[in-house]
Amino acid sequence: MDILKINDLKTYFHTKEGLVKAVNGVSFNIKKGEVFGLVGESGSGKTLTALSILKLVPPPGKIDGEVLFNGIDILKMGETYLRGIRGSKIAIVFQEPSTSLDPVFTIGYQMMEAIYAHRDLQNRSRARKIALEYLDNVHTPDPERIFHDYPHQLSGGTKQRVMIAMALINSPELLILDEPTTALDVTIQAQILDLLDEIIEREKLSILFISHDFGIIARMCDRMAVMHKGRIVEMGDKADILNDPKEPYTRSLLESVKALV
Amino acid sequence: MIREIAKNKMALASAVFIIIMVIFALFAPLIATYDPTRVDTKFILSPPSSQHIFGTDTLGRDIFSRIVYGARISLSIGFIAVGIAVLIGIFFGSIAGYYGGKIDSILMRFVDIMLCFPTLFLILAVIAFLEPSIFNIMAVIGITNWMGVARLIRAEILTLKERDFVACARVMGASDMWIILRHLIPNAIGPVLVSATLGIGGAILIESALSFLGIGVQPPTPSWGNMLMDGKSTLGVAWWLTIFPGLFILFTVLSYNLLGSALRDILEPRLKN
Repeated sequence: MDILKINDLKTYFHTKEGLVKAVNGVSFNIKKGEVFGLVGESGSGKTLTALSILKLVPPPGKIDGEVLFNGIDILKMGETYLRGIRGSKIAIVFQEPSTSLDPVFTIGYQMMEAIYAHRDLQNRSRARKIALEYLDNVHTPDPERIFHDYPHQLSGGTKQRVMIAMALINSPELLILDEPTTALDVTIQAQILDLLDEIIEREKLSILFISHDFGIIARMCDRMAVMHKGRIVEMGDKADILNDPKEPYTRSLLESVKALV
Repeated sequence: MIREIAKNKMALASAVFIIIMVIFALFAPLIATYDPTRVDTKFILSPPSSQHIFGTDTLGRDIFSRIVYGARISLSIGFIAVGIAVLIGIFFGSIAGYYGGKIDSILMRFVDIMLCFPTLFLILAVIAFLEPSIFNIMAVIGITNWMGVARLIRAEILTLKERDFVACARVMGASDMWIILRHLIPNAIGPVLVSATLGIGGAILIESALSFLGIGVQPPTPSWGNMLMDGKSTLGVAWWLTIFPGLFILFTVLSYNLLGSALRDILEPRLKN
């Protein structure tokens, strides 16, 4: 059972300088409960693929192709439908937690905003309880205090935990993580990955994990696809790709990780 | 921010003066020593004394009490006129800034057209045409002064809408209206606060000018401007009819200007963030 099936996704930018084929015919599927990795260097089109899934590509970008979420092609649906899915059925956590939060509102206010946006809930104290519960689930130090803090008062690692909490708060079916640990230092990175392991185990979510770091992808994912210049060059199970990479690009990507070890 | 205002001596003095004027306005019946419209023929044109600390005018009315009630008029006209200007400005500025393109061009050309009007003459014309009621004065000052705010909001939103937290809000399912109202405007409000503070001073001056010319607040309602009009004919013999309202206009507008300038300094380094 595929929770997500992408067929020939093309995201082209019609600029004054010419046509930029940022995502050029990408197809893959994610099974329910699976952790799928999308690896590639900067500029390969990974983030745009994620944004295209939710039809969030700004003009002059145009998206073409099929994005089947639980069988329904969401690219053909209207804005209202998509707004209902964004942040509730499909959630994304981005790379840079310091700029992902609105600087003039408290963490608690923004978490409750995420709750009100998708749940039919009017009760403030209930929403507050849910927010605190999720802050606890992602192991933020002292959720009560963090609830009243402003983003600039928190460290990068804590902010990323908050972003993960906000992504999970409406129980999404598909969680997209776009380089969630790239902006964090290595020790915090390890903690966040441990947290994600725990969440994957507990919630049994389907995950699209995007990263340029093959090491992280190897640790977290069951199946993966390698992206290069807007196309998928190789796709398969973790064991197949790591032990027997068929494409030269995949091989050189793996070499660059091994070189550091 | 309050702490930072306290650090700046000028700003602190201005804020204190404004607070005193607000107290005058709110608690006028308790502070005024006499009824401002009470005619007392025994005390016509008497100089400042222990009974009438600012003296009396040509009808024997107590100047101090008229100043206190006048604060009500001048301050409320200032606040509400600027409130109207800010609302209109935020409306046009945020739509132009957020949507860009043709909508932005059309709205900004509209702003340019409005800026071409010489506002004081426009206000004079409108008030001469309609009746000079307090509401009309507030509305007219507001409707001719929103353009600066519109430009400020538009400029802020043009940069703010590219920020990550806006993209994240979209990813969470926020609509355009929600993003503009709940994220962009609260972040863009800094420069508008400065402009509004300075604008209150300006609005008070305009109202005083209109009332001095006789087409603003009508007697017997006291306004600092129409008190100047009363004092014009007796300036040689009774300086207190003119000097006191004049000083209050001066210090109030000066306070708003100094406070606005201080706010600009306070918000400036934050704006760079």
